[in-house]
Amino acid sequence: MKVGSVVTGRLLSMIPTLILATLIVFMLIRLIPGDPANAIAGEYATPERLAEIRSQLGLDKPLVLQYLGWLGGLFTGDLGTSFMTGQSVLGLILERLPVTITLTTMGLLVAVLIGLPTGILSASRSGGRLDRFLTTAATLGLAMPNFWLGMVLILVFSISLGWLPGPGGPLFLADPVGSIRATVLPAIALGMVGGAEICRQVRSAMVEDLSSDHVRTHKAKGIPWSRILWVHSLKNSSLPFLTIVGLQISRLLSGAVVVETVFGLSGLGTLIVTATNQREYLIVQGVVLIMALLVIFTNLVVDVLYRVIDPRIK
Amino acid sequence: MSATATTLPPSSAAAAALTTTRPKARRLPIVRWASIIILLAALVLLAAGRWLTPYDPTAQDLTSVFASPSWQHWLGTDDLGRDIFSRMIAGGQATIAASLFAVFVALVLGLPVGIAAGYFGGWVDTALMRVVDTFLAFPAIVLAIGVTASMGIGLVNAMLAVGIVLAPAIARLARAQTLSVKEMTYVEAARSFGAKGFSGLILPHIVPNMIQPVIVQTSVIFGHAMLAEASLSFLQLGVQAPGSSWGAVLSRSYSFMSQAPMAILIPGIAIALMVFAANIMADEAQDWLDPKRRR
Repeated sequence: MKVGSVVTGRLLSMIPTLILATLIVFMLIRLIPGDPANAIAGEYATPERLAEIRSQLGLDKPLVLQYLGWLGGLFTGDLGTSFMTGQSVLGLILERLPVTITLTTMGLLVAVLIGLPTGILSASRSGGRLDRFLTTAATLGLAMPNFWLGMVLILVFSISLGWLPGPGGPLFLADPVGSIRATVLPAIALGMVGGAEICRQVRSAMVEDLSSDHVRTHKAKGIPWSRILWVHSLKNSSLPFLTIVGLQISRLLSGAVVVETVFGLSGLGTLIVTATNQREYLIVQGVVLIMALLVIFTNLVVDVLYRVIDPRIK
Repeated sequence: MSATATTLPPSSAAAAALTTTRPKARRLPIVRWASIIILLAALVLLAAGRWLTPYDPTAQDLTSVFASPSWQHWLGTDDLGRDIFSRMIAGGQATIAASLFAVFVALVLGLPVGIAAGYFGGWVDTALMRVVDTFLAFPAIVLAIGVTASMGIGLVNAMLAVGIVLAPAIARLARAQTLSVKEMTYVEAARSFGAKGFSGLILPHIVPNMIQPVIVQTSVIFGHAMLAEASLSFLQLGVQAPGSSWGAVLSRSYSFMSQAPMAILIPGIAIALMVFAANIMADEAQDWLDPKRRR
């Protein structure tokens, strides 16, 4: 199957999702009870300031025109400006984006490094003590709040042992190495929960595959168990693995918001939390939109990979 | 399931397959019993929390800040001299009630959408599921923060937002279940006798037969809601001072981690155990309800 046509097809089918996603994000500000301009400017705002905010948000126009105007702005990269500082929202987001992407990518790496080997190990000892232990540990891992795990890691590795830097890290563009070093502990905190999920799903997929006929045939032919496990069965379990990795992206981004706050990283998470407290609705709106777009596009990549790997899916 | 698979993008179809019938590890009985005890404790906390606190959870005593655990204060005191044990009990009650509220919101929003999509099929299904899938594209906490930012910071709004974020999972499951149940011969038989519409067919014949997996899923959703409440209250977008929830206790103890490092452990362990117990119960219930896997 040609990758180009798959990508085009998926891109076209994404259009309704993208339109709906922008609609949902657009409607967020309209959820504000009462007059949004009042909520933004505060109790003691002058009528001029209120009028200024209304015209900036386009609140004086009909809803449909407001949406179309906002959508038009999106295409030119205009997500509005901060009410307090006048900075461009897109600029603020682009400044913080690398931190969140580094954290999420490293978190995913940790999740795969933990989840894949433990999942395989658990499946190969299916029903045994090690399997029971790993499965219970994975269920416990899924239950832990990732930001709490982050605090425990700070307590152990930063405060007690002093091995890694604690909360606070430089912006990625200012100091890439320092930024990555400061991301190690948060990435572990973020990736552990994902690792638990990957472990469970890889185990399930492989246990199922290991009880299938082709494995019996391989065994009968005298192929070593380790080869059956690591080559044949793992290959057959690659699709569920890919799926679960794809699903993790959204969860990791979700977790990153809180983990960033624990570690004081200047990413999109801390940006949206600060913006929420300062009633900077346009920044909140911008971050929600960018995060959704990130998820939609990673889903696209996973879908395309899926079709490339598995010829049965048309 | 095949009907689902043809209409969904592969990632979501496979995602649905991932969570259904897959082999599971046999669990030690002690894990099951521990989970039941934890959930019973949660019920007691929910029903009688306010009578169980040894001290007023908001009463400050600045003469004994950061006190270590003792017979007077079982878990010590916080930066304002408030009894942590009392705050954990009051906070537990708030956390559990808030999570149940979010689950309720998710069910109220997700069930009708899922059942309607599965029952009517066609363009209704396509349109509804498109919306549901779009909601799934938003990272849960991020959307919850967005909704809370607009509706106003506070526990009720935060959990309403969490309910909205959790609803798509319920809708998806309800749709898949409705799709398979509506093809069953007993539904066909009822239809041939003239049963139709919501009160004639959906409520008496379809809902009772599709609801079991949804009930199991609510246990998992409850766990998600607890983690979301903890996250939002930690970010100070949920419970507001001087109120208490496990996330809020965690947030407070984090601010003073260098003075009282151990205080962060208690709320975290409480949250993890509760979510763990909810997930184990969901697994157990799924096994118990599935006639094929019953031993």
